[in-house]
Amino acid sequence: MRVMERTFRQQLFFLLLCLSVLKGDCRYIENNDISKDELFSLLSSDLRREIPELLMYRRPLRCLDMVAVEGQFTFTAETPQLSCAAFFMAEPNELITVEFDSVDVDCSGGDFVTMFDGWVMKGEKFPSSQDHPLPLYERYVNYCDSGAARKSMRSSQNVAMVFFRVHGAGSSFALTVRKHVNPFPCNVISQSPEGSYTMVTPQQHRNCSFSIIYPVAIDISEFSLGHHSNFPKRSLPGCAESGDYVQLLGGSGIDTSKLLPITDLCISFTGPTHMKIGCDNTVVRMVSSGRFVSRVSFSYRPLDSQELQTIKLNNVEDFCFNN
Amino acid sequence: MKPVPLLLLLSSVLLSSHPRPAAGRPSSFPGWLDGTSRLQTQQVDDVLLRAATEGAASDLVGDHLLRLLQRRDPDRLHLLLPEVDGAEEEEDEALRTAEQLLKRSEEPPLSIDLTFHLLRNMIQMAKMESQREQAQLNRKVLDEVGK
Repeated sequence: MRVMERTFRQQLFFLLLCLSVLKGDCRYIENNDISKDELFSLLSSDLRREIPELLMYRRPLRCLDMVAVEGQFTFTAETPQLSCAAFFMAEPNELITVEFDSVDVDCSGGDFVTMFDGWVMKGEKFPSSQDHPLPLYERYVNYCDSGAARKSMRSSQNVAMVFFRVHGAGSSFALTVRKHVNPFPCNVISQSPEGSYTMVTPQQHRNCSFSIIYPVAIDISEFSLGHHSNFPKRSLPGCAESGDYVQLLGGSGIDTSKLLPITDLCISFTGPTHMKIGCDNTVVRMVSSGRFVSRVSFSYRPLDSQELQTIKLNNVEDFCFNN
Repeated sequence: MKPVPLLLLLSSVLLSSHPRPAAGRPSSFPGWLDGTSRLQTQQVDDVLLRAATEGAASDLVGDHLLRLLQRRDPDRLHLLLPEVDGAEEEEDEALRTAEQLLKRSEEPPLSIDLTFHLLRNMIQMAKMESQREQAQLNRKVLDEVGK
Protein backbone atom coordinates (compact mmCIF):
# COMPACT_ATOMS: atom_id res chain seq x y z
CA MET A 1 0.00 0.00 0.00
CA ARG A 2 2.75 2.42 0.99
CA VAL A 3 4.81 1.50 -2.08
CA MET A 4 1.81 2.19 -4.28
CA GLU A 5 1.28 5.61 -2.65
CA ARG A 6 4.91 6.53 -3.12
CA THR A 7 4.98 5.71 -6.80
CA PHE A 8 1.73 7.61 -7.27
CA ARG A 9 3.25 10.66 -5.62
CA GLN A 10 6.34 10.39 -7.76
CA GLN A 11 4.21 10.23 -10.86
CA LEU A 12 2.29 13.26 -9.71
CA PHE A 13 5.42 15.30 -9.13
CA PHE A 14 6.82 14.24 -12.45
CA LEU A 15 3.63 15.29 -14.17
CA LEU A 16 3.65 18.68 -12.50
CA LEU A 17 7.30 19.18 -13.41
CA CYS A 18 6.59 18.33 -17.04
CA LEU A 19 3.66 20.70 -17.21
CA SER A 20 5.58 23.62 -15.78
CA VAL A 21 8.53 23.00 -18.07
CA LEU A 22 6.32 22.73 -21.14
CA LYS A 23 4.53 25.94 -20.23
CA GLY A 24 7.89 27.65 -20.30
CA ASP A 25 6.78 31.21 -19.62
CA CYS A 26 5.47 30.44 -16.21
CA ARG A 27 8.18 32.52 -14.66
CA TYR A 28 6.30 35.59 -15.89
CA ILE A 29 3.06 35.87 -14.04
CA GLU A 30 0.58 36.64 -16.81
CA ASN A 31 -2.54 37.15 -14.85
CA ASN A 32 -2.23 40.58 -13.37
CA ASP A 33 -5.78 40.69 -12.04
CA ILE A 34 -5.78 41.26 -8.36
CA SER A 35 -9.31 39.93 -8.03
CA LYS A 36 -8.60 36.35 -8.97
CA ASP A 37 -10.64 33.62 -10.59
CA GLU A 38 -12.32 31.28 -8.18
CA LEU A 39 -9.83 28.46 -8.61
CA PHE A 40 -6.85 30.59 -7.72
CA SER A 41 -8.53 32.23 -4.78
CA LEU A 42 -8.22 28.91 -3.04
CA LEU A 43 -4.52 28.72 -3.72
CA SER A 44 -3.58 32.37 -3.31
CA SER A 45 -2.09 33.59 -0.12
CA ASP A 46 -3.78 36.97 -0.22
CA LEU A 47 -5.12 36.87 3.29
CA ARG A 48 -6.60 40.15 4.34
CA ARG A 49 -4.70 41.32 7.31
CA GLU A 50 -7.07 41.72 10.22
CA ILE A 51 -5.95 44.72 12.19
CA PRO A 52 -6.72 44.17 15.86
CA GLU A 53 -9.04 46.80 17.29
CA LEU A 54 -6.43 48.10 19.71
CA LEU A 55 -3.95 48.91 16.98
CA MET A 56 -6.43 50.46 14.54
CA TYR A 57 -5.60 54.06 13.88
CA ARG A 58 -8.54 56.40 14.17
CA ARG A 59 -8.99 60.04 13.47
CA PRO A 60 -11.65 62.39 12.15
CA LEU A 61 -11.70 63.11 8.45
CA ARG A 62 -11.58 66.68 7.21
CA CYS A 63 -13.42 68.10 4.24
CA LEU A 64 -10.16 68.29 2.27
CA ASP A 65 -7.84 65.58 3.44
CA MET A 66 -4.95 63.39 2.41
CA VAL A 67 -4.48 60.03 4.08
CA ALA A 68 -1.42 57.81 3.72
CA VAL A 69 -2.03 55.51 6.66
CA GLU A 70 -4.39 52.62 7.35
CA GLY A 71 -7.17 53.07 9.82
CA GLN A 72 -10.68 54.23 10.40
CA PHE A 73 -11.69 57.78 9.49
CA THR A 74 -14.96 59.41 10.46
CA PHE A 75 -16.38 62.55 8.95
CA THR A 76 -19.00 64.49 10.88
CA ALA A 77 -20.53 67.53 9.29
CA GLU A 78 -20.95 70.49 11.57
CA THR A 79 -22.10 72.72 8.74
CA PRO A 80 -23.28 71.79 5.25
CA GLN A 81 -20.26 70.82 3.18
CA LEU A 82 -20.95 70.76 -0.50
CA SER A 83 -17.67 69.78 -2.10
CA CYS A 84 -15.31 67.66 -0.11
CA ALA A 85 -12.69 65.14 -1.10
CA ALA A 86 -10.37 62.84 0.78
CA PHE A 87 -7.34 61.59 -1.11
CA PHE A 88 -5.77 58.26 -0.20
CA MET A 89 -2.23 57.35 -1.04
CA ALA A 90 -0.02 54.33 -0.49
CA GLU A 91 3.46 53.14 -1.38
CA PRO A 92 4.05 52.42 -5.08
CA ASN A 93 3.72 48.67 -4.59
CA GLU A 94 0.51 48.82 -2.57
CA LEU A 95 -3.19 48.92 -3.29
CA ILE A 96 -5.84 50.63 -1.20
CA THR A 97 -9.14 49.18 -0.05
CA VAL A 98 -11.75 51.65 1.13
CA GLU A 99 -14.79 50.33 2.94
CA PHE A 100 -17.91 52.06 4.22
CA ASP A 101 -18.39 51.28 7.89
CA SER A 102 -21.44 53.33 8.69
CA VAL A 103 -22.97 55.98 6.52
CA ASP A 104 -25.60 58.35 7.83
CA VAL A 105 -26.33 60.82 5.07
CA ASP A 106 -29.48 62.04 3.44
CA CYS A 107 -29.29 60.46 -0.01
CA SER A 108 -32.64 61.79 -1.17
CA GLY A 109 -31.63 65.28 -0.08
CA GLY A 110 -28.77 65.41 -2.56
CA ASP A 111 -26.01 64.02 -0.34
CA PHE A 112 -23.56 61.53 -1.73
CA VAL A 113 -20.47 59.66 -0.70
CA THR A 114 -18.62 58.32 -3.72
CA MET A 115 -15.43 56.30 -3.82
CA PHE A 116 -13.27 56.66 -6.89
CA ASP A 117 -10.54 54.36 -8.17
CA GLY A 118 -7.88 56.96 -8.88
CA TRP A 119 -7.58 60.71 -8.35
CA VAL A 120 -9.48 63.56 -9.92
CA MET A 121 -7.95 67.01 -9.87
CA LYS A 122 -9.01 70.03 -11.88
CA GLY A 123 -11.28 67.85 -13.95
CA GLU A 124 -8.50 65.44 -14.93
CA LYS A 125 -8.43 61.80 -13.93
CA PHE A 126 -5.49 59.71 -12.94
CA PRO A 127 -5.01 57.08 -14.29
CA SER A 128 -6.37 58.20 -17.63
CA SER A 129 -9.15 56.21 -19.25
CA GLN A 130 -6.63 54.72 -21.66
CA ASP A 131 -4.39 53.40 -18.91
CA HIS A 132 -6.98 52.09 -16.51
CA PRO A 133 -8.28 48.52 -16.84
CA LEU A 134 -11.83 49.40 -15.81
CA PRO A 135 -14.36 51.52 -17.72
CA LEU A 136 -15.18 54.85 -16.13
CA TYR A 137 -18.53 53.97 -14.58
CA GLU A 138 -17.00 51.00 -12.78
CA ARG A 139 -14.46 53.22 -11.08
CA TYR A 140 -17.12 55.02 -9.07
CA VAL A 141 -18.90 53.47 -6.11
CA ASN A 142 -21.63 55.76 -4.83
CA TYR A 143 -23.11 54.78 -1.52
CA CYS A 144 -26.42 56.38 -2.45
CA ASP A 145 -26.72 54.47 -5.73
CA SER A 146 -25.60 51.06 -4.65
CA GLY A 147 -26.65 51.10 -1.01
CA ALA A 148 -25.83 47.86 0.67
CA ALA A 149 -24.81 46.18 -2.58
CA ARG A 150 -21.27 47.50 -2.85
CA LYS A 151 -19.68 48.65 0.33
CA SER A 152 -16.01 48.50 -0.49
CA MET A 153 -13.67 49.25 -3.31
CA ARG A 154 -10.18 48.08 -4.03
CA SER A 155 -8.10 50.44 -6.10
CA SER A 156 -6.06 49.33 -9.09
CA GLN A 157 -3.09 51.50 -8.19
CA ASN A 158 -1.61 53.21 -5.16
CA VAL A 159 -4.09 56.09 -5.10
CA ALA A 160 -7.81 56.34 -4.45
CA MET A 161 -10.21 58.99 -3.24
CA VAL A 162 -13.61 59.67 -1.79
CA PHE A 163 -15.86 62.56 -2.83
CA PHE A 164 -18.64 63.59 -0.53
CA ARG A 165 -21.33 66.18 -0.11
CA VAL A 166 -23.51 66.54 2.96
CA HIS A 167 -26.22 69.13 3.35
CA GLY A 168 -27.34 68.50 6.88
CA ALA A 169 -25.32 69.21 9.99
CA GLY A 170 -24.91 66.04 12.01
CA SER A 171 -24.64 63.72 9.00
CA SER A 172 -21.63 61.49 9.26
CA PHE A 173 -19.92 58.50 7.76
CA ALA A 174 -16.98 56.29 8.61
CA LEU A 175 -14.49 54.62 6.31
CA THR A 176 -11.90 51.94 6.89
CA VAL A 177 -8.78 52.15 4.79
CA ARG A 178 -6.47 49.19 4.31
CA LYS A 179 -3.43 48.60 2.19
CA HIS A 180 -2.44 45.45 0.29
CA VAL A 181 0.71 44.51 -1.52
CA ASN A 182 0.57 44.67 -5.30
CA PRO A 183 3.01 42.33 -7.04
CA PHE A 184 2.88 44.19 -10.36
CA PRO A 185 2.32 47.88 -9.80
CA CYS A 186 1.10 49.81 -12.81
CA ASN A 187 0.21 53.50 -12.67
CA VAL A 188 1.96 54.94 -9.66
CA ILE A 189 2.08 58.41 -8.19
CA SER A 190 5.31 58.96 -6.34
CA GLN A 191 5.01 60.09 -2.75
CA SER A 192 8.33 61.87 -2.66
CA PRO A 193 10.34 64.11 -4.98
CA GLU A 194 13.36 61.82 -4.92
CA GLY A 195 13.91 58.14 -5.20
CA SER A 196 14.44 55.39 -7.70
CA TYR A 197 12.15 52.89 -9.26
CA THR A 198 12.12 49.98 -11.65
CA MET A 199 9.01 49.49 -13.71
CA VAL A 200 8.38 46.04 -15.13
CA THR A 201 5.52 45.22 -17.39
CA PRO A 202 4.56 41.58 -17.55
CA GLN A 203 3.62 40.18 -20.89
CA GLN A 204 0.41 42.10 -21.20
CA HIS A 205 -0.94 44.64 -23.60
CA ARG A 206 -1.21 47.49 -21.17
CA ASN A 207 0.43 50.83 -20.62
CA CYS A 208 1.81 51.73 -17.22
CA SER A 209 3.00 55.06 -15.95
CA PHE A 210 4.93 56.47 -13.05
CA SER A 211 4.07 60.07 -12.13
CA ILE A 212 6.41 62.33 -10.23
CA ILE A 213 4.49 65.44 -9.32
CA TYR A 214 7.61 67.59 -8.97
CA PRO A 215 10.14 69.18 -11.27
CA VAL A 216 12.95 66.66 -11.24
CA ALA A 217 16.27 65.72 -12.76
CA ILE A 218 15.64 62.21 -14.02
CA ASP A 219 18.26 59.64 -14.78
CA ILE A 220 17.18 56.60 -16.77
CA SER A 221 19.78 53.98 -16.07
CA GLU A 222 18.47 50.87 -17.71
CA PHE A 223 15.90 50.05 -20.28
CA SER A 224 15.36 46.67 -21.85
CA LEU A 225 12.64 45.32 -24.06
CA GLY A 226 12.10 41.66 -23.44
CA HIS A 227 14.49 39.03 -24.71
CA HIS A 228 17.26 40.18 -26.98
CA SER A 229 16.71 37.14 -29.17
CA ASN A 230 13.11 38.16 -29.81
CA PHE A 231 13.85 41.77 -30.58
CA PRO A 232 14.53 42.31 -34.30
CA LYS A 233 18.06 43.64 -34.39
CA ARG A 234 18.21 44.69 -38.03
CA SER A 235 15.23 46.98 -38.21
CA LEU A 236 15.25 49.93 -35.86
CA PRO A 237 11.72 51.17 -36.30
CA GLY A 238 10.39 54.46 -35.09
CA CYS A 239 8.93 54.29 -31.67
CA ALA A 240 5.29 54.17 -32.62
CA GLU A 241 5.79 51.18 -34.90
CA SER A 242 7.88 49.15 -32.53
CA GLY A 243 4.96 48.78 -30.16
CA ASP A 244 7.07 48.68 -27.01
CA TYR A 245 8.68 51.89 -25.88
CA VAL A 246 9.08 54.24 -22.98
CA GLN A 247 7.71 57.76 -23.08
CA LEU A 248 8.78 60.66 -20.98
CA LEU A 249 5.90 63.09 -20.56
CA GLY A 250 5.59 66.41 -18.84
CA GLY A 251 2.98 69.00 -18.11
CA SER A 252 0.82 70.51 -15.45
CA GLY A 253 -2.00 68.05 -14.99
CA ILE A 254 -2.33 64.53 -13.65
CA ASP A 255 -3.99 63.02 -16.72
CA THR A 256 -1.17 61.28 -18.57
CA SER A 257 -3.05 61.35 -21.86
CA LYS A 258 -3.06 65.15 -21.77
CA LEU A 259 0.64 65.62 -21.14
CA LEU A 260 3.12 66.54 -23.81
CA PRO A 261 5.77 64.00 -24.80
CA ILE A 262 9.30 65.07 -24.04
CA THR A 263 11.05 62.09 -25.54
CA ASP A 264 10.56 58.46 -26.50
CA LEU A 265 12.96 55.61 -25.87
CA CYS A 266 12.59 52.53 -27.99
CA ILE A 267 15.96 50.90 -28.28
CA SER A 268 17.34 48.89 -25.41
CA PHE A 269 20.35 50.45 -23.78
CA THR A 270 22.20 50.33 -20.52
CA GLY A 271 23.85 53.73 -20.47
CA PRO A 272 22.35 56.52 -18.41
CA THR A 273 20.15 59.24 -19.85
CA HIS A 274 19.97 62.44 -17.86
CA MET A 275 17.23 64.96 -18.27
CA LYS A 276 16.13 67.95 -16.27
CA ILE A 277 12.42 68.47 -16.47
CA GLY A 278 10.96 71.59 -14.97
CA CYS A 279 7.34 70.51 -15.35
CA ASP A 280 4.94 70.30 -12.46
CA ASN A 281 4.31 66.68 -13.34
CA THR A 282 6.88 64.35 -14.88
CA VAL A 283 5.69 60.96 -16.05
CA VAL A 284 7.59 57.90 -17.22
CA ARG A 285 5.17 55.84 -19.25
CA MET A 286 5.78 52.40 -20.64
CA VAL A 287 3.80 51.34 -23.66
CA SER A 288 3.68 47.60 -24.01
CA SER A 289 2.37 45.51 -26.88
CA GLY A 290 2.23 42.38 -24.78
CA ARG A 291 4.86 40.52 -26.75
CA PHE A 292 7.79 41.21 -24.45
CA VAL A 293 8.54 41.73 -20.83
CA SER A 294 10.01 45.22 -20.57
CA ARG A 295 11.68 46.99 -17.74
CA VAL A 296 12.96 50.48 -17.15
CA SER A 297 14.98 51.68 -14.17
CA PHE A 298 15.31 55.31 -13.28
CA SER A 299 16.13 57.59 -10.41
CA TYR A 300 15.08 61.16 -9.79
CA ARG A 301 15.86 64.07 -7.53
CA PRO A 302 14.13 67.41 -7.16
CA LEU A 303 15.48 70.43 -8.98
CA ASP A 304 16.61 73.30 -6.82
CA SER A 305 15.48 76.84 -7.50
CA GLN A 306 18.64 77.78 -9.42
CA GLU A 307 18.26 74.89 -11.84
CA LEU A 308 14.62 75.79 -12.32
CA GLN A 309 15.60 79.38 -13.11
CA THR A 310 18.14 78.18 -15.67
CA ILE A 311 15.53 76.06 -17.40
CA LYS A 312 13.08 78.88 -17.60
CA LEU A 313 15.66 81.26 -19.00
CA ASN A 314 17.05 78.80 -21.54
CA ASN A 315 13.77 77.81 -23.00
CA VAL A 316 12.83 79.12 -26.38
CA GLU A 317 9.52 77.33 -26.42
CA ASP A 318 7.07 77.70 -23.65
CA PHE A 319 7.70 74.24 -22.38
CA CYS A 320 9.10 72.99 -19.18
CA PHE A 321 12.06 70.79 -20.02
CA ASN A 322 15.72 71.19 -20.73
CA ASN A 323 18.25 68.69 -21.96
CA MET B 1 -7.74 4.56 -6.94
CA LYS B 2 -6.14 4.22 -10.35
CA PRO B 3 -3.38 6.77 -10.78
CA VAL B 4 -3.70 7.23 -14.53
CA PRO B 5 -7.24 8.68 -14.69
CA LEU B 6 -6.41 10.84 -11.70
CA LEU B 7 -3.34 12.17 -13.48
CA LEU B 8 -5.38 12.88 -16.58
CA LEU B 9 -7.95 14.73 -14.54
CA LEU B 10 -5.31 16.75 -12.75
CA SER B 11 -3.52 17.69 -15.94
CA SER B 12 -6.76 18.76 -17.60
CA VAL B 13 -7.64 20.89 -14.58
CA LEU B 14 -4.22 22.55 -14.55
CA LEU B 15 -4.25 23.24 -18.25
CA SER B 16 -7.77 24.60 -18.29
CA SER B 17 -7.17 26.88 -15.37
CA HIS B 18 -4.60 28.84 -17.33
CA PRO B 19 -5.51 32.44 -16.57
CA ARG B 20 -6.33 34.52 -19.59
CA PRO B 21 -4.44 37.78 -19.70
CA ALA B 22 -7.00 40.36 -18.82
CA ALA B 23 -6.80 43.53 -20.77
CA GLY B 24 -10.10 44.64 -19.37
CA ARG B 25 -12.98 43.26 -17.45
CA PRO B 26 -16.06 42.21 -19.37
CA SER B 27 -18.51 45.04 -19.26
CA SER B 28 -21.59 44.27 -17.30
CA PHE B 29 -24.54 46.46 -16.70
CA PRO B 30 -24.61 48.21 -13.34
CA GLY B 31 -26.20 46.10 -10.66
CA TRP B 32 -29.07 48.43 -9.95
CA LEU B 33 -30.52 48.03 -13.42
CA ASP B 34 -31.01 44.30 -12.99
CA GLY B 35 -33.26 44.92 -9.98
CA THR B 36 -36.22 46.13 -12.00
CA SER B 37 -37.54 43.06 -13.72
CA ARG B 38 -39.70 44.99 -16.17
CA LEU B 39 -36.71 46.61 -17.79
CA GLN B 40 -35.58 44.99 -20.99
CA THR B 41 -31.89 45.48 -21.64
CA GLN B 42 -32.64 45.46 -25.34
CA GLN B 43 -34.77 48.57 -24.95
CA VAL B 44 -32.15 50.33 -22.90
CA ASP B 45 -29.62 49.57 -25.61
CA ASP B 46 -31.92 51.09 -28.21
CA VAL B 47 -32.55 54.15 -26.14
CA LEU B 48 -28.87 54.59 -25.41
CA LEU B 49 -28.03 54.25 -29.08
CA ARG B 50 -30.66 56.81 -29.97
CA ALA B 51 -29.42 59.20 -27.32
CA ALA B 52 -25.82 58.79 -28.39
CA THR B 53 -26.51 59.33 -32.07
CA GLU B 54 -28.81 62.26 -31.45
CA GLY B 55 -25.90 63.97 -29.81
CA ALA B 56 -27.65 64.52 -26.51
CA ALA B 57 -24.34 64.07 -24.77
CA SER B 58 -20.84 65.22 -25.59
CA ASP B 59 -18.69 63.39 -28.13
CA LEU B 60 -16.73 61.72 -25.40
CA VAL B 61 -19.78 60.24 -23.78
CA GLY B 62 -21.09 59.14 -27.14
CA ASP B 63 -17.83 57.33 -27.87
CA HIS B 64 -17.95 55.72 -24.49
CA LEU B 65 -21.49 54.54 -25.01
CA LEU B 66 -20.76 53.26 -28.48
CA ARG B 67 -17.82 51.33 -27.14
CA LEU B 68 -20.00 49.88 -24.40
CA LEU B 69 -22.64 48.85 -26.88
CA GLN B 70 -20.08 47.47 -29.26
CA ARG B 71 -18.80 45.21 -26.57
CA ARG B 72 -22.24 44.02 -25.70
CA ASP B 73 -23.60 43.36 -29.16
CA PRO B 74 -21.81 44.55 -32.26
CA ASP B 75 -24.74 43.84 -34.57
CA ARG B 76 -27.02 46.34 -32.97
CA LEU B 77 -24.69 49.18 -33.77
CA HIS B 78 -26.14 49.31 -37.25
CA LEU B 79 -29.60 49.91 -35.95
CA LEU B 80 -30.11 53.62 -36.01
CA LEU B 81 -33.82 53.50 -35.62
CA PRO B 82 -35.07 52.09 -32.37
CA GLU B 83 -37.58 49.31 -32.58
CA VAL B 84 -40.96 50.16 -31.24
CA ASP B 85 -41.13 47.27 -28.87
CA GLY B 86 -43.48 47.05 -25.98
CA ALA B 87 -45.62 49.56 -24.23
CA GLU B 88 -44.95 53.32 -24.23
CA GLU B 89 -44.38 53.45 -20.50
CA GLU B 90 -41.67 50.82 -20.63
CA GLU B 91 -39.84 52.86 -23.19
CA ASP B 92 -40.16 55.96 -21.04
CA GLU B 93 -38.69 54.13 -18.12
CA ALA B 94 -35.86 52.88 -20.31
CA LEU B 95 -35.27 56.45 -21.44
CA ARG B 96 -35.11 57.65 -17.87
CA THR B 97 -32.59 55.00 -16.83
CA ALA B 98 -30.58 55.72 -19.95
CA GLU B 99 -30.47 59.39 -18.96
CA GLN B 100 -29.30 58.40 -15.54
CA LEU B 101 -26.64 56.22 -17.05
CA LEU B 102 -25.53 59.09 -19.26
CA LYS B 103 -25.32 61.35 -16.23
CA ARG B 104 -23.27 58.77 -14.39
CA SER B 105 -20.85 58.40 -17.22
CA GLU B 106 -20.33 62.16 -17.27
CA GLU B 107 -18.79 62.06 -13.82
CA PRO B 108 -16.80 63.25 -11.89
CA PRO B 109 -19.46 64.59 -9.55
CA LEU B 110 -16.86 66.82 -8.03
CA SER B 111 -13.44 67.95 -9.01
CA ILE B 112 -11.26 69.71 -6.54
CA ASP B 113 -9.22 72.57 -7.97
CA LEU B 114 -6.04 71.80 -6.15
CA THR B 115 -2.79 73.30 -7.22
CA PHE B 116 0.23 71.03 -7.34
CA HIS B 117 1.82 73.07 -4.58
CA LEU B 118 -1.09 72.35 -2.26
CA LEU B 119 -1.18 68.71 -3.28
CA ARG B 120 2.52 68.32 -2.52
CA ASN B 121 2.10 69.88 0.91
CA MET B 122 -0.80 67.60 1.69
CA ILE B 123 1.24 64.57 0.66
CA GLN B 124 4.12 65.67 2.90
CA MET B 125 1.78 66.05 5.88
CA ALA B 126 0.19 62.68 5.22
CA LYS B 127 3.60 61.04 5.01
CA MET B 128 4.62 62.57 8.32
CA GLU B 129 1.42 61.32 9.89
CA SER B 130 2.07 57.86 8.48
CA GLN B 131 5.61 57.81 9.86
CA ARG B 132 4.42 58.98 13.27
CA GLU B 133 1.80 56.29 13.32
CA GLN B 134 4.28 53.63 12.28
CA ALA B 135 6.60 54.73 15.09
CA GLN B 136 3.71 54.47 17.57
CA LEU B 137 2.81 51.04 16.30
CA ASN B 138 6.40 49.88 16.58
CA ARG B 139 6.57 51.16 20.12
CA LYS B 140 3.37 49.33 21.08
CA VAL B 141 4.58 46.11 19.52
CA LEU B 142 7.94 46.33 21.24
CA ASP B 143 6.24 47.06 24.56
CA GLU B 144 4.15 43.94 24.12
CA VAL B 145 7.17 41.88 23.24
CA GLY B 146 9.10 43.23 26.19
CA LYS B 147 6.45 42.14 28.71
